[in-house]
Amino acid sequence: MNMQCDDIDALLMEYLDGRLSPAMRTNIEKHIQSCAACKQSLDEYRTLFRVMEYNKPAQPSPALQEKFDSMLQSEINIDATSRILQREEREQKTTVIKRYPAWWRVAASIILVAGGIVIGMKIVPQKQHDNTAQIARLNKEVKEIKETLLFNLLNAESASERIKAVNYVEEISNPDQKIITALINTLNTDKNVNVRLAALYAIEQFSGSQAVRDSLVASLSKQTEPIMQIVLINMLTERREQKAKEPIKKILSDKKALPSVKEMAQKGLKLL
Amino acid sequence: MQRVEEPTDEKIMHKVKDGQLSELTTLFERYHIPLYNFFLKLTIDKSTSEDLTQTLFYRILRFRHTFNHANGSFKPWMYQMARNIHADYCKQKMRISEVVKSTNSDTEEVPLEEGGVEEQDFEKLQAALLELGPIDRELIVLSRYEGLKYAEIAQIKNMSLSAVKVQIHRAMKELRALYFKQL
Repeated sequence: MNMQCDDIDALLMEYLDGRLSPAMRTNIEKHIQSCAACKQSLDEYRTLFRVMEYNKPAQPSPALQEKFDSMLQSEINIDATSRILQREEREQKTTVIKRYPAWWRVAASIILVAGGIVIGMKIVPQKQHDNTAQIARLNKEVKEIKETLLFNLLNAESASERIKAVNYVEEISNPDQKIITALINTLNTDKNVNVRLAALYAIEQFSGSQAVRDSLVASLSKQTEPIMQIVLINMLTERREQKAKEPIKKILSDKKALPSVKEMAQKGLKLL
Repeated sequence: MQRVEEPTDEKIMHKVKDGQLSELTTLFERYHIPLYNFFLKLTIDKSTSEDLTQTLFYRILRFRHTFNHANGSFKPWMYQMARNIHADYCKQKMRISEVVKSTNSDTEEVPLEEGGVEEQDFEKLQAALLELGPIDRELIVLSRYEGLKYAEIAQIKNMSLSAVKVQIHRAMKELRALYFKQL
């Protein structure tokens, strides 16, 4: 091997990657024709690159996505709660934070659009006078499908599926008592705090109803997780729900309650 | 390759930094498979690689405030973090025990006869990669598998561009020797 072969060898990778100037390429090709050692090097690199290229990326198990989703949801919840706390500190007027993951919004809109298309296709062949009844019937059907989906998802094994279910309520117009009851049940009994919190944010939109507020008040005495207590106090005091006074006082006198929760309780009580 | 209408990694990361945490989902979709494979090449262990990938995305979220486009693009920043996580993992593993050399019996099943490349070729490559020193292995994974540019690797490893070129070339030469030695 002379000096030139070393130089050539250093450029073989670049040559295969197509990163050399045309002049350089010609040089190398010329050299290869007359030098068996360099030709072998080139062939070996070529084989190696080929094997590497076909060494396809391995797929992680679905558990990775699942863990990521629940980690993200948990971080979003922590972030939302710390925002509430910070805002309280600044004693500004509060608006309750509502955050749904972007992918969920995308999924939801896809479902809606697809649903629209299905309805549209079914309606087209019908005569004009049938339409109103048809639409009503189809709307009812779609709503029933959504409800069934929601109930199934609420019982899913994975926490992120249950969070999806809870957020799915937004897609159902005028959900009936059955759904609200299911949500409240999730709020009180789900073993995962992230699911409970998502349920709470979903229920919030119905807090105009006294019955729902009563359930929230009852839930406040049941929740032991600080994050749940804070968000509940925030929600109820914002609605000036007088019945919340009792459980809030209980939290204040609870020795085990965290200082940040008590602080929130103190401020909430002042609002009532 | 990104299509024109898709937001850049940096744009998304700035949204995450501004508090739109759910935007991280897009970055996860873009990178969790390459990152998983990055860890898999280095650790040869599936469940460890999943854990490290998960840790990485957690750290991206936790340290989102340290991302600054002015100091470089997203990919090198992310791989820098991935390297640190792998280094932490190695230290931890050394502390616990060095005895167990993970069996690679459960490495991924690759479809056979892909363009004349056979299962045993992948196994040979895997063995050659393992024989390589950890620094050389990482360089090859970053440049040839993860498709990072030399300049990006230089940024991650805090090396000069020419040093990266020379070292990758040397590493590939060695890999080549190891691979064909097995024939």
